[in-house]
Amino acid sequence: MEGTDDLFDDIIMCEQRYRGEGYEEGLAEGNSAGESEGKQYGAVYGARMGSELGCYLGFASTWRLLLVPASDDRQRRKIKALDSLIAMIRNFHSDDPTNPNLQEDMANIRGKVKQVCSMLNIQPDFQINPSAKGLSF
Amino acid sequence: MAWVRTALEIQQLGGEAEVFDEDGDEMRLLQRDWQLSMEKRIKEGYVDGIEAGKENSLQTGFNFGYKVGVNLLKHYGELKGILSALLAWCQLHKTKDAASGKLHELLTSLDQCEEQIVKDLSSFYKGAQPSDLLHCVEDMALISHEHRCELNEPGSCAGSRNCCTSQDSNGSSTFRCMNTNYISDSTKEELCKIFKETLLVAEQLDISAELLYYIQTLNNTESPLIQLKC
Amino acid sequence: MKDTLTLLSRVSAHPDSRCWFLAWNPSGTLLASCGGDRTIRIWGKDGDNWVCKSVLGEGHQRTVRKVSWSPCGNYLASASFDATTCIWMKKKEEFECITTLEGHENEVKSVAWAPSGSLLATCSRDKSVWVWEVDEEEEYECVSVLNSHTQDVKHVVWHPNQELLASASYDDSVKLYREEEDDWVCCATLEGHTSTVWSLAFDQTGEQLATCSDDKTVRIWRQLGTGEQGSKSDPNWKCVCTLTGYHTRTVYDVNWNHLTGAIATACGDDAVRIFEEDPGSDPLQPTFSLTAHMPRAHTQDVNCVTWHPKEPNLLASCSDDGEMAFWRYQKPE
Repeated sequence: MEGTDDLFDDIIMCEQRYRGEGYEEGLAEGNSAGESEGKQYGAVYGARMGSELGCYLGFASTWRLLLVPASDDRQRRKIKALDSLIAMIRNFHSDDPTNPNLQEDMANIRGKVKQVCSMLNIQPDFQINPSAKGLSF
Repeated sequence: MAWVRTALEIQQLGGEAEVFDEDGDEMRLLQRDWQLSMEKRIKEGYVDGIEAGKENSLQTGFNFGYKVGVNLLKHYGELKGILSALLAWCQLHKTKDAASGKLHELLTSLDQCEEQIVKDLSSFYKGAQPSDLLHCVEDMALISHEHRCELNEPGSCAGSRNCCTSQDSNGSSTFRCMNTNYISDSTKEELCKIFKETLLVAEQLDISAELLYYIQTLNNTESPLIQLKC
Repeated sequence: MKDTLTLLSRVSAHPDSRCWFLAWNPSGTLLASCGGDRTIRIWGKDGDNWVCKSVLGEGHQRTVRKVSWSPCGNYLASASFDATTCIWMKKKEEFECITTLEGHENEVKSVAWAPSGSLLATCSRDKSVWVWEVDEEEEYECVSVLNSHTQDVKHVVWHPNQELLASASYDDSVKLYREEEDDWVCCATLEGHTSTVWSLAFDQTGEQLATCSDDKTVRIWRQLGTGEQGSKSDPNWKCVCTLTGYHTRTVYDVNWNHLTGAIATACGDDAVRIFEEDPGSDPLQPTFSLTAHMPRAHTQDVNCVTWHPKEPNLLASCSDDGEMAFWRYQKPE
């Protein structure tokens, strides 16, 4: 009967080994699938973000150069708002998705863009989208 | 492959177990039970492994892809912003109807290009094989403006994938000319056309030399993404 | 307890529609109402009756959700679901729309004039709060767009004597904003409500803020460790009291009487309720008692309650039934 105990041990070890083998195989596959999937989502999300930010920068920089230098108070305020928007975009660490202030900074930038458009009395061609989806999943 | 191996091992184990019971039918049943049980273990492990693996790498992959996406698109976005501003300006000074029409047209084309780039970018990662991906990770880990792309040299980088990568000081490859990697030739041509025409329209508008200069510099070595062979 | 709130009169303000909001002019001679019929109506007292003095019907294409008088009483701002805010100027008996403020992406939910009269705040379903500045030439310019909320912003109110703005949102939070270096910033977030915050009101000193919510409660918040005027440190607001168990449905509005300190609420259970702070209660842990309860104040949801600015016991309310009602409140002995 002493062989029985050994056999039970063997069975348990076998179970563990098979489980482990499956796990290792799954892990490798999961790693690669996850990375690929993450990159795909990240690239698309980042692309949208980059396009949006770039668009605001180009828009603000162009308007900054279109406006005649401070002729009156109202003009001065417009220029000030544009300068502040350009500074906000330049100081924004846009390419770091782990930045904890990413959403908040982005919301502030969008707010500034809306304010600038209102001050300039124009409706831009692009959408100022305040409802970007969350970063993590 | 593990499945085949398992099946073989189960047979071996079954053979040994014969001492344990002489009844052949029952033996087969036991063997079958055993086999099922081990397959279940493997599957369980596999499922857990996939989940753990995905969890490990999803965010890393996302962060990486995000960087690529942001840096790839921001310069096209900037061109879009310039066009939008010029369009709004023309509309405000209602006198430049012809220019408005042209600018609007350019914006529409640029939007289409952007959609195409995002689509290409997405399928680039979707279609990539793990080994390819590994290679790309090393290739693209750094997107640095400090590194000048040698795009301006005639004949360089004519659409081949890794022609512009080189080793930097700490040994990792630096990604040099992303546009050629992700963007199809037809999209590149279209972008090139849009950029040229933007300059043409801008030159006809009554705008400052400073502004014209700003638009021109969008296609320089600092922002290599519109470094198109116009 | 019922006797403490007496109905004075009931007026069909926006027949066959909803009456959304009421606002007394600063002197209390006029009451503005607005409704789902896209109109604003101005009411004045004629003997014992409230009569309609004018109808402002041309300004908006959709529901007019809120109205706010300028501190001088010469202007009225109206917020509409048509995404615009109109500024009306009073010319004798008539009102003329002098400016339309555009910029919100969709429904403007509320508008509020700052005590200085030079600032105006609007909020919208587009999740943003806008601050506008008025110059001497009556030009309105946006000075800030605040995207701090993550959902529909329901209501905005100004602090009674500081340039501090508060907003209530569908994201269950209340945010406070102040000016900093030519821009406006969110300086505090009040979290505690477990569902949409529909409205909020400061007390007469501005040290306390009452908020009401879809979670059927009213919360009282107090400013602690008062950030000294001009100092950089932001005041800390703490919830010091929660009025729970009184309302059986969403509390849509709360209004703090600046003369007596009594709090009135408008509720989705058709009732109007009055609360008063218990005498001698600790300011840091105040207790409030229900002093009046009018169960069927209206036949449908009560949307708004507002105390008269000069007569301490006069309260007006309005409802989805299109009516507005005037009440006399008698504090119980």
